[in-house]
This record gives sequence, structure tokens and C-alpha cells, in this order.
Amino acid sequence: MKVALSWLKEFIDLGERSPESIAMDLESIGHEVEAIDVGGLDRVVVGKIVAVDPHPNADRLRVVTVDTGDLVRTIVCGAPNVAVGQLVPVALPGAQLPNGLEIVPRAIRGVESQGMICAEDELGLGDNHEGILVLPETAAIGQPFHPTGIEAVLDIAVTPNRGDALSYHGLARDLAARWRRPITRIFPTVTGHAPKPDVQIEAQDLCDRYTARFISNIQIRDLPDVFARRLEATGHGHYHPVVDLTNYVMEELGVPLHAFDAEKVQLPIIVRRAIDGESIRLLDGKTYPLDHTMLVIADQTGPIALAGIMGGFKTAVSKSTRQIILESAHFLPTSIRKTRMKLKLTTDASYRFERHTDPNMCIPASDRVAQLVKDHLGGQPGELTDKPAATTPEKQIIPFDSTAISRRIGQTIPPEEVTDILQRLGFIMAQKTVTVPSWRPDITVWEDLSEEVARIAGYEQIPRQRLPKGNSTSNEDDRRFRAVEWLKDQLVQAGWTEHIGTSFLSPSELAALNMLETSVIRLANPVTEEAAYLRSTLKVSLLKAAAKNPVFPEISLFEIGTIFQTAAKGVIEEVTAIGLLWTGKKTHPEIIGDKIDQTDVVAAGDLRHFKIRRPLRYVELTIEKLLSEVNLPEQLTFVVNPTLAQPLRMPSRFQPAMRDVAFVGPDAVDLVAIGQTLAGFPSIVDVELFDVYRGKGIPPGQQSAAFHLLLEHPDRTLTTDEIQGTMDRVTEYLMNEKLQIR
Amino acid sequence: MSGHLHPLTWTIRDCVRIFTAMDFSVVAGPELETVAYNFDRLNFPPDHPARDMQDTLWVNPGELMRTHTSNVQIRAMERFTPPVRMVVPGRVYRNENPDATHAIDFFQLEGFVVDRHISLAHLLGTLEDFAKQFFGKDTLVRFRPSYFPFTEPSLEMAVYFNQRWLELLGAGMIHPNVIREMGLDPAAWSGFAFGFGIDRFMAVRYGLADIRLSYSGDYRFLKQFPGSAKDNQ
Repeated sequence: MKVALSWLKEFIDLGERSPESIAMDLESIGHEVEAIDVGGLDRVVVGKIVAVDPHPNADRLRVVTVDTGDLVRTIVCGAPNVAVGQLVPVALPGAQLPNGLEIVPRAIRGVESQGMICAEDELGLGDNHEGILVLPETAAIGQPFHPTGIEAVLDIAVTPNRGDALSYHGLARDLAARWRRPITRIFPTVTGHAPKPDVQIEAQDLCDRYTARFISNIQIRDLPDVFARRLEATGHGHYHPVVDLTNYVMEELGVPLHAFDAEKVQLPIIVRRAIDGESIRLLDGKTYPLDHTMLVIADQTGPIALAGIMGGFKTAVSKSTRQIILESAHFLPTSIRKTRMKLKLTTDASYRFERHTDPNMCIPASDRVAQLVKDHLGGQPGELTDKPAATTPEKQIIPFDSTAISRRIGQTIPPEEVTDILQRLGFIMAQKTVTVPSWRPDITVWEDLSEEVARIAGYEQIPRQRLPKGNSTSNEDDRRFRAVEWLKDQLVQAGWTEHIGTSFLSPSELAALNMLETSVIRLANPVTEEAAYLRSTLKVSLLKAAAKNPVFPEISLFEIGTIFQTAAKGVIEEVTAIGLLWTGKKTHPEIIGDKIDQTDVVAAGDLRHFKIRRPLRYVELTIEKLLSEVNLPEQLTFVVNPTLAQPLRMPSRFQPAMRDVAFVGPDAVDLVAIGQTLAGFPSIVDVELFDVYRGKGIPPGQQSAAFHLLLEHPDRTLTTDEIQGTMDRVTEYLMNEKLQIR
Repeated sequence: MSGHLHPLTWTIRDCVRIFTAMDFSVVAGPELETVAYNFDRLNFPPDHPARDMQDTLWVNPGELMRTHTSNVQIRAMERFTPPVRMVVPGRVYRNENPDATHAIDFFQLEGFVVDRHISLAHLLGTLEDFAKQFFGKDTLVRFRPSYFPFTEPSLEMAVYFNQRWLELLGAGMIHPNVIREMGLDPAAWSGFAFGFGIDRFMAVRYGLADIRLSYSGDYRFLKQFPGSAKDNQ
């Protein structure tokens, strides 16, 4: 919901509060502010001209010194009307003007210019290019430049339970409770004369209130500017002055209204379910099939509107409309939601009805539209039809216990304060119950009252409490979790690295591994075909990981994750499995040892599909099985180590190269220092000492050392020449250190 | 030579360690779940926009991939009697387009407490303590009211990190309808629940801009994470 603050001011006094402070208050009472648009153009600020000097290399140009609050800048300007003391709009480097021009610092005829002083046309405000735009004295230096008429708009994400906050009135009401101020808006009634339209409600379970009135002798003309500006600021287009006014009042009061061209309606209006087989052409020009689950507004000829969602094409207002029937009704959320989902048609109206509107606002909203039409389009409002009748809807009464509310919040709040907060929110207080206002159907239990009190008092002021010491009990899940983590530690100590992949398989992966589609579970509504199947093995995930790392000579990866298999009779079994994938000489993983019989050589076809060019072995078993074969210690602990030795390095998107370098040198050689130096060579991003050896074949007092060097470039793959070039420098360096390269 | 543990594992372990010290224990539940445990019994009204808040991946009309680890709340209380303090780390699924900060399947940690006389003040204190232990003792946190069908009052917690406020966690007092679904009398028992995306906490801790890297298997990434001890838990 977009809220223009100048409009909100008509409902509640905002005082001197800044947009940021109002946003903070809204957030602290439960309405998230996603963005604050203070209008103005990005990086265009108000500057004051401090000096004007001739340009040394150009007669028609001036060198202007401008104070923009953050800096005093030099700007080259060709306008004839620059003068010292003027307040002017300055586009700073980085600004993008409406005409497409991007501002960069540049030299103009030999003098550096750090921005641009703007004319009206450059700011998209008019056609004037005669000179720069001079601002009134009240403009503040350094502040964003605000063309007149644009002002702050807050973009509020209202939660689905607060349909009442989808209007200026509703938000003002909530702020009023927090600020202890009254709503300043009044709701004058508008009475009119007969005739009134004849209405019958046949589906009272879907629509429990329908009001309608004629408004006659309408003159179609332009509305004053303020309507267009406000509608635009809050995300509406403008269409037809009558429609614009209904949108305007919907934003103000939260009731979606609809105007029919009275001449095109064959009364009476019947609010009924559609009949299977009926259809309706709506305002969007499309024709929709209807069925008996959908609520329509109909006349003698058939459906004329899809109730609460969109009006019909045939009865729409147009330039020639002189008389309207104005509908202001209360439609129940469930059928509106089901219908709009079925027809895939979401509108501002359906959005509000789905979240509950206030039946007691139907008449004030109708009166407001009627007044506006009278004031601006000359129309004459008629008498209101209110069906089913002036019945008072059932009131929601819930238990009230101030002590229980305080206890739930965990703060001793005096009962008078609890009562006062609820009263300011519109609750009617009795000794042991409260009556819930008609605009809060989300309040159904006394616990809802504790949220109302806590949010208006402010969550921030609740003193924090700690949980007392508890009985730390274990359970089989907890032991299982710790056992798995202990197991991971054993694997890692033995040289294995943990991979975590996605739960999904793609059709090509299924095919590559010769898995039948019937053996895996397919999602009914996958995000993409690539993630349509639930994995029944960890193998694909690990093979994909292996394929990512062709330059590493040895890999030993494991993954522990859920696999989904179809057992007998369509029963789906979910099981935690462990998969291990490795290269190198091991014939089976140590942790599994000789307790598990099989070791799988990965099939050549599988390797080919994943573009892996070396042999791999793979084993998979259930975690249950593995845990049952391993000697778990009494005390299950796992390592906790949150910190990294150095900041995370993002690997290049492009394939790296791996080269090894080995040498023999004196024992005393500082291998760590050599490693650090190697890491500084061009393109070398990682250095790993993987072998140090003394003994057979190495002279006494000497050692043999070998490093893996990982080379990569952030923007591309390295060329063979580049790699060779770096390796040549590595060789040269090692030789200079008197080390013998092997 | 030591191998390496996945940063998600390091993150989960640290969270579990912090909550274990507050006398929580780990519980688990299925990823392929019924709509009853995932939504209905958690007080999500049928035919209500609240269900749109979590876009669902369906397997068939009654079964879905769990959208949150909150599915284990009711299941756990069918097995255990209060008082309880439980955490549920696990994989969850959303029908969302994947990008640098969103994945179709990812990890969440749910926590909940059911006991006598639990209050919103306990929840705020517990979450603040957790945030300070995870991010550092001078960490600033901020709470604002929010909405979840299964909690009342509800809140979102933001943490100040790297000069920005990051909204990282949702929580609230367990709704009385959910307490009833647990087979308990809301007049006698109360509790709180919270949940957060582990991937997000991992990304903030390690400075990871694109979470897809953590699922890629790229060894250049994985090898930067430790395999061995500083502390034991």
C-alpha cells in the first residue's frame, strides 16, 4: 500500500515528523515500510552559487562555484542567468536525468566541471531551456531537489491479517492509537432523493450487505490536479473521472466501489451466484467462463459484474455516461479468493475483499464518492438502497482479562493502561469482555488482545527476560543428530570433504542414470523442469560436485541427505542416506572399512554424462545402517569452530588450473614463507603444501616439499601462455632461493 | 590431511550449541509432509492469503514438501510432554525462483518452548541472547510486530551487521489453537516459537553474497572451511 504523506495528513496531524520517523512508528506498530520515496531526482540537490567567474577558454561559458552542502564544487555553465546567491538544482556525478543524460565529472574547455546546474527541461519539468532553474529562497542547501507537487510516499507491506490497514483511514487509526491523537477526518453523510435502485440479494452467504444509489446529471470533465497526482503517487493510473473517484475513495476508506452506467443496467440488480455455463466480458476486454461457485452482480439480461473483482464491459462508464449506479458492498473473502484464483484475475478490489473489508464503511464510502461527484462533476446523489436491511451485524465479543494479557506479554502493565490502549484502538470495554470493532475480524481470541496492547505500547520497551534453567533432556532424535555430527568429524579427519547439494533431479539426470520415471517422485508444480523430481539417490549430487573440480588431483566427497523412494503400493519412503565419492587409490572408505561389502566403480556412462574424465568410486548406504556398524562413543560430541582463518575468497566463475611444484632444500627452509611468497605470484590464488618428506632418496639435512598451486582469473580462463609464464617465474624464484626443483 | 566441513554444517552446529546451552534439544521430522502438519494444524486458515506467504511445492493434493521446519511442532508434541525446549534444523522447500539469495530448497532452524507462564519477554530475551552469541556480544537487535498464523503476538527480529539492519528471523508466542492441537490446555500451557533461514545466517557470517555457491560442490569454496577443532562441544 503506497501512502502519500500529504494525503495521510488529511486523516491525522503528522506534526513536524519526518518521513523516516513516521516510517519507524509504522514499523513499530506492525506495518513494515519497504521503501520511502521522498520524491525528487536521484543525486540532484539544491546548491547555492557562491561565485561566478569568466571561463579562461570560452567567452560564453562561466566557471561557477557552488556549495552543495557536502562540497564546494566547480561547475562550468553556459546559462545567461547565473548569479551569485541563487539557489539552483545541481545534478551531481552519478545522476541520471529524465532526458537520459548521465552526469560525469569532465573538463569543459580545459576546466574541470563537477556536475551540472539544471534548466527546467533537463529536469523534465517543462520546456524552458532559456536558462537555469532558479529556486525559491526557502530551498535548503544540500537537500534533494523536490520539484513542487511531489512529496514523500511510503511503501507499506501490510500483513494479510490487517485488511483494515489497507486504507489511509485505517493506517491513521492505528497511528492515532500510538500517538494518542484523534483522527481529524470527518465523514459527512449525504442524503439523496428518490428514486433508489431496486436490489435483491440472493446469495446472502457470499454478500451480506449491498448498497446502491443513483447519481444523476453527471458532467464528464477533468478533476482537479490533486486527484491525478495522488492516484499516480499511490500507483493508480487515471481512466475516467468517476472511476478515478471510486479508486480515490477506495484508497482513503478501504472499500472498493464500482460505478455502473445506469442507462445500460436493466434493474433490478440481483446479487447471485452465476449459473454454470454463463460467461461475462469484463472491463479488461476478456470473456471469462462462470460457474455456480462465483458471485456475480446481475441484471435482467445476465451478469453485469464479477462481484468484488471487476466490472463488466457492457455496463462500464464512458464519456457519454450521465447517470451512474454506485455500488458499495461487503463481499465475503472466501468466494472472492476462490474465484480470483480460478480465473487468475487479481485486482485492487479482490485484494481488499480477500482480506476483509468493514461492512460499516459501505455507507460512508458511498457518501464520500457521492460528495466528490457532486463537488467536481456536478452530479446529484440519489437515495441509498441498503440491503438486506438496516440490520446490525453480529458483534464479536471476547473475554478480557487484563492480568492475563500482562502475563502473556511478560510485563506488568497497569489495567488502566491496557484498557486505554484497547479503547484507543476502537474496542468497547466491559468488565470481563470486550467488543471487537467491525474492522478487526482478525481478533477472535483474548491472546489477540495481547498483541494489540504490546504493539501499541511498543515491543522495544518490554524488559527482556531469560528462560530459567530447564531440564536438559535428551531424546532419540537428539542422539541421532549428535551421532551424525560425530560421524562427520570422523570422516573429515580421514580426509573427506562434505558436500551439500539440491534435493532435486532433472529429467536428463534421470535418463543418464537409467532411472525409471516411475521409481522417483515428481512434483505436481515444480518451479522448473530441471528441479521436477525428488532424488532417490545422492549419487547425482556428488557426481555434479566432482564434475565441478576437474583440476584437483584427488577428491573425496561425502554427502548426508534425504532421499525419497517409492516403496510398495505407492508408499513414499523418506530416508537419510550417506553417499561417498572418491578418486585415488582407496578401494573403500576407511570409515566403512571392511564392514560393508560393496564398492561401486562409477559406470563409464555416468562419468560421461557429467563430463568427468577420471575413474571414480561411489558407495551409498542409509545412515541407520552405517551408524549400526560403527562403534559410537558413550559421549557424542562434535567440533564447533565458527571462524575462518581469513576472509572468504569467492572463486572465479571460470575454470582454474592446477600445477604442482616440488623441490629439495635444506631442513631449515621456511616452507610457510615460501608458500606465502608463491601465493603472491600473478594468478595464483591458492597454495597448498601437500607433501614434506625426509629420508630415503633425500640427502641428510634436507627435505623434499611439494605444493599444489591453484591458478585462476576472475574474468576468464587463463591461457596456456599465462600459466606457463607464472610457472616460469615460480621456477626462477625457487632457483634464486637455491632450491633444487624436481 | 584433514578434509572440510560444509559451512551450513558449521552454522547449524553453532546454533545448536547455543541453544543446547539453554537446555534445548534437537528434534527431527519429515521433509515430505501432509498439509495437515504443515498448515492446517498450525492455524493457517484454509482459503486465506496467509497460505500465499509461503509458496508451496505440491506432490499431490494432500502432500507437499514442507515449507518450514515448523511442521515438527505438532509432531514433536505427539511424542513428548511439556515442558519442552526443542530446535529443528532441517531442509525446507519453496516454490520460488532461485537467485543469489533464494533457493528452491534450503535450510531452516525452528525452535520452540512449551512450558508454564512463558511470555513475550522470555522470547525477546532468548532471541537477543542467541543473536549476541552468534554475531558478537555487542550486537544490536530490533524487534517489530508482524504476523504468522501460528503465533500471537508475532514479531520479526533484525540484527545490525555491516552497517545495515538485516531482518533475519520470525517468531512469536505459540497461538492457543496450536497449543490445543498439541493436545494441551492453553489456560495451563504457553510457549514461543521462532524460525530462521540457516543459509542466510551462514551468508552473513562468512560474507557469502551468492548462496548458490554453497550448493555447487566447488572445492575451491569448500576447502576454505575448516575441518578440525578449536573448541569441542
